[in-house]
Amino acid sequence: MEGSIFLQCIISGILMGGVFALIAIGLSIIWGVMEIVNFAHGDFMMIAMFITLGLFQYLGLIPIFSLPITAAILFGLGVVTYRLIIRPVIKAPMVAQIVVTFGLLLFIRNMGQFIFKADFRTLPAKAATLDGWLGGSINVYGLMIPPPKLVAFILSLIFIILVDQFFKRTTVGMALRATAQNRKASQLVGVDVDRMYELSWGLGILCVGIGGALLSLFHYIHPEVGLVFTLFSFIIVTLGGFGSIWGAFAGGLIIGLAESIGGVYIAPAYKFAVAFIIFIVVLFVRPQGLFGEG
Amino acid sequence: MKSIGRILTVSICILTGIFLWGEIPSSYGQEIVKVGAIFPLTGALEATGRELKNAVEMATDICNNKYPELSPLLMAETEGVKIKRGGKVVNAKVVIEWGNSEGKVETGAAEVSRLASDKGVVGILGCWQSAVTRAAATTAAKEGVPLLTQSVALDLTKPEVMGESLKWFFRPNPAAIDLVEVMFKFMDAIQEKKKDKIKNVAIFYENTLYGKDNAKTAISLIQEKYKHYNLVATVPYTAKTSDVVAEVLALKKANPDVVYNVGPYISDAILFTKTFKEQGFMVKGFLWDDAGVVTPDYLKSVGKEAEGFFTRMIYNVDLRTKKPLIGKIDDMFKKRYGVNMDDNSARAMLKALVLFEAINRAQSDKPDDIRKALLETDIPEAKTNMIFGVKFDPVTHQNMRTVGLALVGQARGGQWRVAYPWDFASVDVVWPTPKWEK
Amino acid sequence: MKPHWKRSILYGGAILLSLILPLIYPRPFFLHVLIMFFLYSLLSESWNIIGGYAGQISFGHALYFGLAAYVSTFLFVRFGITPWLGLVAAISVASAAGLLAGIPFFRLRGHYFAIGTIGLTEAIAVLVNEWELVGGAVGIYIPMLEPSIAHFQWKSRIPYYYVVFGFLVISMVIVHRIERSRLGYYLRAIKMNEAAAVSLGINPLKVKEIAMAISCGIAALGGVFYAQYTLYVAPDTVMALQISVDMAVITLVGGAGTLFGPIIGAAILIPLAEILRVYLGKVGTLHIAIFGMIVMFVAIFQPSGIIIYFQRLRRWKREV
Repeated sequence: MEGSIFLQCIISGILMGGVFALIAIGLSIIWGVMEIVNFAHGDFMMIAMFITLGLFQYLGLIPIFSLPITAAILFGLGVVTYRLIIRPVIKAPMVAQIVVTFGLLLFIRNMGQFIFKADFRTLPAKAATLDGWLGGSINVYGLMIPPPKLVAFILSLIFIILVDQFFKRTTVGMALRATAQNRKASQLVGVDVDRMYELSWGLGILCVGIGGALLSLFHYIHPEVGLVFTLFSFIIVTLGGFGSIWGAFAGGLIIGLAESIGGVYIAPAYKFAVAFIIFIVVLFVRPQGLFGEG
Repeated sequence: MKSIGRILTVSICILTGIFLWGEIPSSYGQEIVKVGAIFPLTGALEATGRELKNAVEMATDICNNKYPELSPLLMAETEGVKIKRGGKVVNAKVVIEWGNSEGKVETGAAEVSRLASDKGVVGILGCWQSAVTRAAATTAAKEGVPLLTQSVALDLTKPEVMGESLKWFFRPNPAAIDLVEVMFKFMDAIQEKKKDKIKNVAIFYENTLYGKDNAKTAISLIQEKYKHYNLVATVPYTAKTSDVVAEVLALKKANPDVVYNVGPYISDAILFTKTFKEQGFMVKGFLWDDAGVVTPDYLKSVGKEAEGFFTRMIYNVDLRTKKPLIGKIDDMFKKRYGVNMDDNSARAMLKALVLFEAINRAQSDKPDDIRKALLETDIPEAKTNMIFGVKFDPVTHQNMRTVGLALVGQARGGQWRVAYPWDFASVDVVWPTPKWEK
Repeated sequence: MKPHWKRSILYGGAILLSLILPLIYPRPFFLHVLIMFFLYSLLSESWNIIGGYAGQISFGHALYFGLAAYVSTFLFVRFGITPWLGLVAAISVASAAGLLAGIPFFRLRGHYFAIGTIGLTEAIAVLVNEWELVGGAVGIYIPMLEPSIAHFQWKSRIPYYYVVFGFLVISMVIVHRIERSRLGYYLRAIKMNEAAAVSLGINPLKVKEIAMAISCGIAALGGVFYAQYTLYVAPDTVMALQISVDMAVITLVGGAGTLFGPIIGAAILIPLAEILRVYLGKVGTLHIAIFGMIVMFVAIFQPSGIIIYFQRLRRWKREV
């Protein structure tokens, strides 16, 4: 019995970790290209979750099919946010940049509370199991693997691979990486930096949007859900190292596992504390993260 | 840009000034009496707050207008309350001043202050959450205004815990001890009825005042009175959490026959129910403890997954077969608000009517007179909307007539039905809980 | 040297007005809003020392406020020690905690520092939540006692008003002295260019630590007062992220790094919050969404804060 509980934790942790990673990658993209930390990151995720819920409730679209719509909306939101709010503060002192995304956090989170009320909602079972295609938990040698989490994990993984390939193989992706590494030099070789910034926001919020849509398959949907995930994303990116997509993936798995195992073996209430301690340790012992480029 | 900033600042300052200055002391109309009601009207508990508000609204209406068809219900035949003003006895209408606790302790306490000193209420109903009620009781005592609650935490009527605050504090419904104990009585009875054995009990509870208090009560009952049960695990959890896999696994590890949660918020109850199913955790009986679970939203959200679950309650619409008055009140409520009454709304109505009756009997709008009248409350069961009457213990201010009068309900076909005691039952109890459907 | 007597009259007048206000208009809600205004001005001045003058943006400052509230309350409820003595203990504990946290955290900059402070406060709040000795999640309730100075408890709001006003005056005097002292000079130097400051022989860590200790001490005044005013401490009330955010937002909107910035910020935001809560009770936390909008607005158009308008007004008046 003992071993299987432990294995159960591991499974749970890994599956969730994959989705956490995708969410964190969104943060990493914006941070990497622009050196701006989006404190409102998790709140965009919250918007994506509500959109997913709404698309199901009003149009009957199950999440797999509504995913592209959610993704498109969030990409748009990212671009709009950049133009309206971020572009004006690019040249401003860092204080202003921190404060502006923090103000955005307050705004989105509390408007969410006002519009949607503070109830915790969940995606109805019909949506989460993708219209009944996936039935109850899959039983593998006594370990329960809930299909919604499994699907979320697989789709997250696919998407992370896509993002990685985008950065490595496409021209645009390489332009983004160039901007991230050296703004002035990229300008010299003809990269439109403003466009790159815009794109990084669009892309970053897109990632967090897809992550959120997938997360809604098995997680609460409510207006305050964003902050914790912003903190987790920050921790994951720090853990995995700057500029490394697979580092963020590893970081996501670690945090997912820490949450899961810490929850059962230390005490459920300490879940966040465990993640935070890992963060502090990494920050002071190996600031470039596990796979970072320093 | 400069001018916009200036204009904005100045206008906000002016508006602020106007608002603050405009808080004119409310004058007592010749014919009104103000009563405060503080509930969680926003925040996570908004749905419950709304229910409670509706119940108090209806109770106020019953008091202020004649409803002979509801006779002999308290205050149904009056058109307001009788107050002595300037030597004469006049008929005054009750007006409710609403307060919003936002689900937070400090806000609830601040609202008590505001309603008492700014709005001049003569009594307060509130605040549903035990933690908030406790702070509210202290503030109400400071302001010298009686507070009636429906919250069940046992600590609230313990002199050693509440101290001076108890003087102004009254509870017309049962305390946790009766409600928790009924579960154990039920477990004893069901073993006999279905010839089944229950040995191992696991308790899980939220780590707030309410959860911890009830868990303490349950644990001491096992240790002192129900020693034949074996407590195999006590698992605390943080209320309004997002994930309970760890807690469910901890329960699973202990291998109980029966799990008992002493009073969850609706969101936690839903989460636990889903996680039980997800983790394939099955026991003979899932026992809940009212609170968030009797709200209609719970069964609506979890649907079939909660079929066969149990809860304790003091009120259920099925009781109408035993007491027709309950049916009449429930119909009226359903017509106005679209849902049946449940434990929460019924208790809210009771405390409102009890307060109005005390004001009426004291014929005074002075809080201290009302307090004295409350101490002398003696209402027979026939006049209430519950299956018990009201008489407060002189020391603890707990209603003494509620001893042993709790019910156990079972979720059947998406509704809570009465399952125990057998003479109040409206359905044949199903035991053990049916297995998870695939 | 222009005579400052005009300004002294202004200040003196404001103080006098504040002192007699509760006697001429003792409406409880009005006093409550003013008490909250003074309290948050106090807390924001505390944040201002670290966030404004030193430039270290913290979103976890409520930790020291909360620790102080807990220390004095615990000593009061368990041992009967008057909160005034408890205040001394609370200031010590809060400052010590700040000093301790500063050692690792001041090495971090900008975003890392901000996230780190949020995380630290959340983590400690979680730990306190599980610690039964101080009540865990339930917290500690202060019982109703005979109104007296020793009990730091009164029936009317007026004594509370004077106490918190007194605390605010003390904290402003402290910040004013810092501004004009060598410490203030060092802080400004570090904020502008830490590397250059180091080359001048300034030890940034030492300077920041001193500032932190003072900042936490002032926050402690607020914490003890708050505990006695609301008669309740719990992790989710006194260590709430919302309080940290309010302290930062109020200062930033009003004008970080200035003496009156926090006051202006609080003057705008606190009445707004209280009034919205009471009159538009149905809307939950809408006032915070409005804060967010104001914050973004200020950050984009006037990052130095609203106080700029007052400074320009003064300059304009002087020129005319």
